[in-house]
Amino acid sequence: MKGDPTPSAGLGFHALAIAGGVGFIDIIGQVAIVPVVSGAETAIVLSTLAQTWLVNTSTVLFAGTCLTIGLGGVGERRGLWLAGLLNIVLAVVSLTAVVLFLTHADVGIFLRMGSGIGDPGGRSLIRASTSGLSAVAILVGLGLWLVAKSNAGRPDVVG
Amino acid sequence: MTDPRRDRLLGLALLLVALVVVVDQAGLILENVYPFRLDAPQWRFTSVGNISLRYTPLVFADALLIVSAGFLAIRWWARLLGVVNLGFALVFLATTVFFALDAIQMRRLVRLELVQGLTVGAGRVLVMTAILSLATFWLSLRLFRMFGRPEKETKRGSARPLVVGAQTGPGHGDTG
Repeated sequence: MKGDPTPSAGLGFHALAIAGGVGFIDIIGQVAIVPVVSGAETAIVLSTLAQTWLVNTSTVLFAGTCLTIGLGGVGERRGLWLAGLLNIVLAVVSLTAVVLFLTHADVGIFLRMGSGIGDPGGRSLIRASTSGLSAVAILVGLGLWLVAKSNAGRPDVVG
Repeated sequence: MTDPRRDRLLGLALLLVALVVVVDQAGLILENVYPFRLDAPQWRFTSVGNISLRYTPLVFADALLIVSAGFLAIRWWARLLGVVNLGFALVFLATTVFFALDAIQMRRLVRLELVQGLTVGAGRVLVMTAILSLATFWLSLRLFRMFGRPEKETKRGSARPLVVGAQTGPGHGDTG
């Protein structure tokens, strides 16, 4: 094994890619059950969806990063492209969650009623929105990097 | 060029981080499932549901451990990880089966309006557990294949020589 780090590094990248994939499936599963358990009222469903997503921002970022490192290390072009696309889709979903949170969540309603940003509701709003928007920025960055990396190895067409 | 000292330090750091994650998650799981009541289907159902919320950090820790094994270049450690992964694969497989049976039993125990939520939640846990069973099994196979016992060199003269051409004589040629 010593002096031959490449195969073990390859297995490490595969393990990270698997961890990222499991993370994504986990969070998608958690979000998917929200409409079933939170009732039929659209506003409540949307706000619960947004809160569930934003509470799990760290999981989203962890999964995105693991998948990026894993697939980036493995270096298969199609995998890189898919991971990049997935990261960008997640960024869009995170941005939508922030908007939904601001427009539908209870803390948003408290703010609009004029209770200010010094109250726990305001702090919660700021925390969730900040982490959500940070996730958007990081995911967009990772996504674009992956897509660019997947295109970089493509041979030029001549003639 | 890789620097062995840097690789060892990096592997050690990853190993420590992974161990902290494992201890932390084990504590959280214990907090949720203790005291143990294995004979109660409600406890079993809720416990597996609670543990499933810790799957992602635990898989992350597993990945870090595997990466650390690569950097540390310790064969027995990698093989131990293979054994642990195989053990978890079997545990997850058994959990998938028994949790499905518990879920069916729980559907009869809860109120009618909660059945749909319970079914979807149980489905999520089942899918996650089944995926983890496959993932840990695959990782254990890869670990065994990559870090398994090194192939012994063939002893000189022990291998049978390659026979080129047909042998002739009694018992080898046509008898007719």
